[in-house]
Formats: sequence, C-alpha cells, structure tokens
Amino acid sequence: MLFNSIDFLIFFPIVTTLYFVFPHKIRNYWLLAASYFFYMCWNPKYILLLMTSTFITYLSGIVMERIKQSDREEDKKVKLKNWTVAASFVLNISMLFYFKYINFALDVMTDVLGLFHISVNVPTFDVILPVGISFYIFQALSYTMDVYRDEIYAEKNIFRYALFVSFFPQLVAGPIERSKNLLKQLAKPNDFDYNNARTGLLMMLWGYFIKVVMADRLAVLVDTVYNDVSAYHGMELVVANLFFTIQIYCDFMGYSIIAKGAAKYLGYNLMSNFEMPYFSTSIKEFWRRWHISLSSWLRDYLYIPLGGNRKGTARKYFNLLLTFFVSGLWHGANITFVVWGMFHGICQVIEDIFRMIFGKISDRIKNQAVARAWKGVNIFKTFILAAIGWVFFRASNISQAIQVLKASVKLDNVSAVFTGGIYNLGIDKMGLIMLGIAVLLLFVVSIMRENGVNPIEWISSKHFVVRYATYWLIVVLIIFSLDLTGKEFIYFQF
Amino acid sequence: MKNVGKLLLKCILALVPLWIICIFIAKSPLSYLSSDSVGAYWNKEFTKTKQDKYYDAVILGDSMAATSFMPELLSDSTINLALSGSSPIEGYYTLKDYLANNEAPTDVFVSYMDYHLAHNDFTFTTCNQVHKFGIGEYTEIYKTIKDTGVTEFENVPMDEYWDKAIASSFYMPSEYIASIINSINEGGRLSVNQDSYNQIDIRSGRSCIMTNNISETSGIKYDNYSISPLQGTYYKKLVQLCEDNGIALHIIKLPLDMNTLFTDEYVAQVNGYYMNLLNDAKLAEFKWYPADYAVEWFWDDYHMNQHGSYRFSMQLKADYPKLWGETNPSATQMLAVNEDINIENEPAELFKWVDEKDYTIVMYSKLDDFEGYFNGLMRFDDQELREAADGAYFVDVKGGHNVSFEDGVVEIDGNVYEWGDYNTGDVNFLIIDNTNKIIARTCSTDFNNDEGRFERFEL
Repeated sequence: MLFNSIDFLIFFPIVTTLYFVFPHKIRNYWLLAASYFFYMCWNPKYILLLMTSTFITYLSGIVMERIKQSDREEDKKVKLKNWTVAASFVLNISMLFYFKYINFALDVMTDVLGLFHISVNVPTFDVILPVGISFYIFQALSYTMDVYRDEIYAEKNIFRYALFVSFFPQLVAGPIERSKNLLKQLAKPNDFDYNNARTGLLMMLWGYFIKVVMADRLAVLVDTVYNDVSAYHGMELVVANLFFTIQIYCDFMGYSIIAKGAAKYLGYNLMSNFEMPYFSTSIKEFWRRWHISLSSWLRDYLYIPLGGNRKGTARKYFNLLLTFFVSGLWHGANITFVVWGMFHGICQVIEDIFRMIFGKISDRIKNQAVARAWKGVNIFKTFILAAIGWVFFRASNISQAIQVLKASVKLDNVSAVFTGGIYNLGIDKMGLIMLGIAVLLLFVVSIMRENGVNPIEWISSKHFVVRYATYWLIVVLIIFSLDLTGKEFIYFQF
Repeated sequence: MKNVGKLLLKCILALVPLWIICIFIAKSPLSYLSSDSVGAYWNKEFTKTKQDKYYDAVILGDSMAATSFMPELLSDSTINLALSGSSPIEGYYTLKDYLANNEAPTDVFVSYMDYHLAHNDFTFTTCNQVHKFGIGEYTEIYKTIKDTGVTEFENVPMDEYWDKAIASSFYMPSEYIASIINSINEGGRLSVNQDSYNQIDIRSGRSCIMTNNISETSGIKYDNYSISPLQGTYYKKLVQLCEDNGIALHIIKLPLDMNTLFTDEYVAQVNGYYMNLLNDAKLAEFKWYPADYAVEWFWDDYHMNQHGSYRFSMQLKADYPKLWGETNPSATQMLAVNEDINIENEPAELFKWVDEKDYTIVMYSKLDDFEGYFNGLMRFDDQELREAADGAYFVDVKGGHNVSFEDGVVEIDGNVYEWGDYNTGDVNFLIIDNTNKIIARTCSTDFNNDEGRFERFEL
C-alpha cells in the first residue's frame, strides 16, 4: 500500500479514527493489526519475515535483560550478552542476506571465479525482495544493540515491541527509528490532539506535494533519458542527472514527511530524516543532513564500534570507507550502489586530507561577503559531487554510469535543451511551469528551515487569506500532477 | 469533539479546489473527455436513460459493427450502440443498462471481430472515464476476471482494479486529470465534443465513421478462431440476457474483402463455437456473411468504409425485410444521411445516398452532352435528369417538387436556396434535403479526360 494510493486514502482515516475511538487499552493492538495489514498489502507471506525478525530481537532483548539481572559473574554476563547479540545479528542479517543479497553474492562469486578461469554453474534463487526489509531489520537490530549497551531496558510487552518494529508510517522506508525515541512513546497511547492532527495533516500535504508534484514529474524526464541513455548526450544528460539529484531528494523526503505527518496525527514524533542536505558545504556534512536515521545508525552501530576516529588516521579512513561500503550495499544488491557508497567515502577521505593540509579555510576568512561566497562555492561543490554520485545510484550498471558521465562532459547541445529541446525529454510546458513553481516553493521552505523558521508555524500565523491561498496552490498543483502518480517511492526497493 | 469538527471543517476548506474539480469532472465531462470517449459517453447517457421512443432493433459490437450498421439507412427505430474497441463485456452491460430503462427491442444484432474476442481485454479506462459501471458491475466483472485467472487487462494490473474503480466512481481527479490537462493544452474540448455528441445523436448512436479512404492491404489468412475465457463468459451472458427478455439475437460475422482466406479448420472452429454457444438459445441465430466485398469498400483490413457500410446496410435491409423493409426516412435520419453525403468523395456514389429519399440534386454544367455524362457515370437506378434552365439540371428523387433555377438561386416549392458558387467546376452540385428544407451539400468536380471519369470531390 503506497502512501500515494487510493488504498492509503481509505486506510489512513479508518485506522486513525478507530484508534482514537477505541479505549486506550486496545489502541496499540489496533495499530499493530493495522500495521501488519499495511505490510501484508504487498505480499501477505512476508509478514512472517517481519514477525520473525521481531520475535528474534524481542527474545534477544529479554534474554539480555535476564542475563543482566542474573547473579552471574560480570565476565560471564558480558560473554553471554555478546553471544545473544551476535545470535540476533547473525539471524537477522542472514534473513536480509538471503532475501536481498543471495543472487548478487552468487553473481559476484561467479565473476571472481571467472577471473581465475573457473567456471561454475550457480543456480539463481527465485526471491522477491520483501519491501522495507532493510529498514525494519536495521530498526530491530538497533533495539538489540541499545539493550546490549544498557541504554534501554528490554521491552517486556511483545505487542508493544512488535508495534515499534512495524509502526506503519515508517515501516517500509523509515525513518529507521530508535527504541529510545519511538518505543518510549508507544508505551502511552495518545488521545486526539487538535494541534498534533493539524500539524500532521499539513506535513502530509507538504509530503504529497514534494512527492507528487516534484519527484514524480522529475521522474518522467529522468526515466525517459535513463531508459535509452545512448539516445541522449551532453546537456540532456546533465539535465537528467540534475533532475535526478532533486528527484531522489524529493521522493525520499516526501515519503519521510508523509510518514512523520501520519505519525504526528496519531500523536507520535518520528525523527527527522532530512535537514536540507543540498545546503551542505561538504560531503561529511551532507551525511549529517541526508537520510539521518541511516547515517546515524551506521555511525552509532558500525563506525564507532569499529573504532571511529579514535585509532589513528589510517584506521579512521578504513572505518569510514567500510561504513560507506556498507551504506552502499544497504541501498541495494548491485555494484552501482557499492560504488556510490565508496564514492561518498572517498570524497570524505579527500575532504579530510585537504582539511588536514590546508586547515579549515573558512575560519581564516574574515570578510563576511567573501565568507558567504566561499560557503556558496562549497555548497555548489558538494551539490555537484552528490550529483555525480547519484549517476551511479540511478544507472542500472557501472558501464551505463560511465557512459552517462562521459557523455555528460561534452556539453555540445546546451542551446538545444534551453530552446525547447527539453520538451523532447517527456516533459511539457505546463509540467515545466508546475515544476518551476514547486522548486521555488521548496527552495523558499528550505531557506526558512535553514534559518530556523518552522514553515508550518509560519504559515499558521498568517492571515486566513494567505494561509488558504497557499494551501489551495499546493492542492491544485497536487491535483494537476495526479496523472503521474502511482509511482513507487524509490527507497521502497531498499 | 469540538476540535474534531473544527479540524474537519478546516480540511474541507483547505481542499476546496479538490471539491471544485470533482464537481467539474462530474458535471461537465464533455469539457475534458478525449474525442475517442465521446461515443462511449453518449452510449452511457443513452442506455441509462428512459427513451421517449421505442427501438425495435439494437446493434451491439465493436468498431466494425459501429461502422457497418447504419441506422440512417436501416430504420428510424434502429439504434447502434456498438462501441470502438469494445468486447462482449461492454456489450453485455450496454444491453443490460438499456433494458433496465427501456422496453426490450425485438431484435439485437451483435458483431465482434476476432481479435476483440481472443483477448482478455476491455475498454476499462474508457468505461471508467464515462462512468459506465456502478459498484455492482465492477464487482461482477472483478469476480468474473478472477474466476478466469486473468492477471491484467488494458495494461492495468488486477491489483489496481479497485483503485481505479473507486477513484472513477467518486470522480477523483487522479482518473481524469490527464484528460483535463490535455484539454487545457488543446485550448478546450467542449465545443468539439459537443459537436461530436450531437453528430452521434443524429446518427442514432453510430459513433464510428471511417470515411471513404480505401484499405492499402488485404488478403488476411484466418486459421485460428479462439475466444478468451473472459469474453466467452460474457458472450454467454449476453445470449442469456437476450433469451430472458425474449429478444431475437442475431450474431453477425461481418463480410470481409474478397482476398480474405479462411482455412477449413477456421471455418470449423467458428461454426463449432457458435453452434455450441447458441445450443440452448431458442431465439438466436449465427449468420456469417461471406468474404465477397470489394477491397475498395474497406478502410482497413477489417473496417468497412462508407461505401462498404452502405452496401452492407442495404444488404441487411434485404435480408431482414420485416425489420428493415421499406420505410420513409425520418427528419433525423435525413440529417444523418446529409452527413454521409457530406463526406462522400466519389461523384458516382453521391446518387446512391439520395436514392428513394426526398432529395433534390441541382446540377450546373457547361459540359456538352451533360445528360450523357450523367447517365453514364452518375445516375443511380431510375433517377431522371431534368433541365431547369440553360446548363442547369436537377434530379427530383421522390418527384412532385417544383424546381426552378435562375442566377444562382434555386427555388423548390417556394423555398429559396442561394447557390453562389454554382459555376466553379465542370459539374457543380447543390443537394437539397427537402424534409428538413436545408442544403445538404454543395460541391463540384471536373471531368478527367485521360481516365474517363469525374475527379473525386475535395473534402
């Protein structure tokens, strides 16, 4: 069930209305049932995976809690806890590996053996990727780790814990919630709150706007180009990549905002997944602003346990590259994602080396105008690097990505694109105008947020006419983009 | 509770553009529907309304049927409810809707080309656009599709079936916005669609007209006749519906061009299928018209052009004299024939359309021995050419009219018709519909000496 589907339009009001109508005692059960139903709409069979992951991590939490409270020696306790957490990780990662990476791993193995002229007949497993598996397994594992690190007590109520893993707004594409945030909130069912509901609905409206008006419209052009890359060159490819850079942001951010809004309507606060990443001045900062729930997960549960930056420069870079290797792999079972992840890792290593050699240049600039210009240059540089990285993310294979990058360099048809050639890429004049308005709106909202202004509070404080004119503009733009809907969110595939 | 009401009110207010667009979608379909859907919309409006008039013959089928059966030639109580691209699914519900609101006809003629029967497909999107189905019908179709094991149709996967059905039923913009945007890009569709709608009205539902272009290919070999499980189910339902309502059902396999080849196996399959289908039907027949039509009467491999449709309709009149025997065309039928005349491009064919109808054709020609040309290349049946003035002639098809011509003014029984461009070609025509007392068409042609024939009319 997609957020941008009729099904969800029916599902959401029914679930939320009944949630507030039911007595407190059964509200969480209701939400759990609704969340499971939500997940089963994709493939009912895969609910077993979700339940299995939930049960394993729940059990590991309980076991670790028992170990903690037992009279055993501390060493033994640590050992037992280590075994428990390892078992939970192995089982969960095995599930993830089988359903997401088995065929990829076999392909890689065949290719590697091929290098040594060893030919093997490797079978292909007929596995359909369960939607959201990477998200909920990582979320469940974060709980295991938090219990292991004594950061939280193990949750005793299995239903509440199951709801934490499967909470429908963030089940299939995050944010990858932390037990410290969401599990605590689930302990106490909420009553209907006008402000929460209003804010939640406005967030959802904004999320739909970002997804439907921007991401889906940009997707038309991007898909047109990427479906036949060899037919395009120069500026067309640059435009397509530029559009994809915005599309992926709008697609994923749109989903995250709808998810946050849906949870907010019910009275739950989910973590922010995006903080204007394209205003970053470095790739390192980009990852503090992009897909925050994943990058912080990798930082807390992979990079820091590996030693982080505490074990020398060489080890720091190794840890960084390994973390981004995992990040790339997490996104998909394809070498393109690995390259994308490594590209970001390498960029950060280079940035760090530069910083070590030249120091932080911005600190040395005293003139404010020059400092602002320098910041602008860095934002632009980071944006371009991110855009180059997205080529690997979007391309179906490495050779296509290289083909795109090579052909993009020859800017031989700049004028053609800007004198109507863009209409050959699947977007018409009306679509382009709508896109222009939408980009402007998004830019204004991003600037507001960057300057610490909450756009929802800002618009709520305005006169009735301004407020409703804005809502209506957004609603009209959404309606006139509905012919593009039905497109899945890109991050669902991860 | 107060806060819930407040939130609800604010939601309703914030979504005002949505309500406005939904109302627009519901109330003004002709403003945005694509030209292909106007016929389906007219059809839906017609079948879901109680008609003032009784129709004794109803035509169902696809575009081949929509083209070939010409109510303007058959009778005033014939309605052509065939729809382009449709299959027995739409046909069944069209008849069901019609019967729910109107007295059953005595005869129903059904005709589907092979490929509309072979595929598990129907015009789902068009049906949604024009609100052909209610929830009951959507459910019935869904169950039948599920029973037959179909996973998608019209490129719509089955798991999107209900999304689309519900969205259409509630006039949700997602199903209509593409048409609305196209309409805006085209500068509005209302007037064009309104004209098409009126044309279909005049033509008694005949929504598919193929002009007189001639097919560039012919000679298809038919060696396999297969009916998909879904279409087969609805074909049976259609037969049963006619039986239940005491309607004589005529399943017609339309004539094809003479280069068409049917293998023996194909012939056996067709005959076997219909023998089986109509086994228990008491009031039904299957009639297969042979492939003996000229290639020139076809627009493509399957669709007859206007010339072919004329001949087929006249053949039907001869084959079903009780139903479509001699009748005086009504004023509406005459208007439809006027439209046929207006798209006629062959001077030699012009006089067929007017035959036995109350038309007067006035001709002005400076050709020597015009009467000879007329008798040799234009005259149809026993139409008589008479002289009105120097160089001016007329054919009074039904006879009994007082016709005069002077300086571009034609007077018939006191009605005056201005004819400004009467001297532009070798032969100039003014065709007057005496029933509606209007000029049906003015046109001219030149004689092509090299080929010994008159040039085609420019359309």
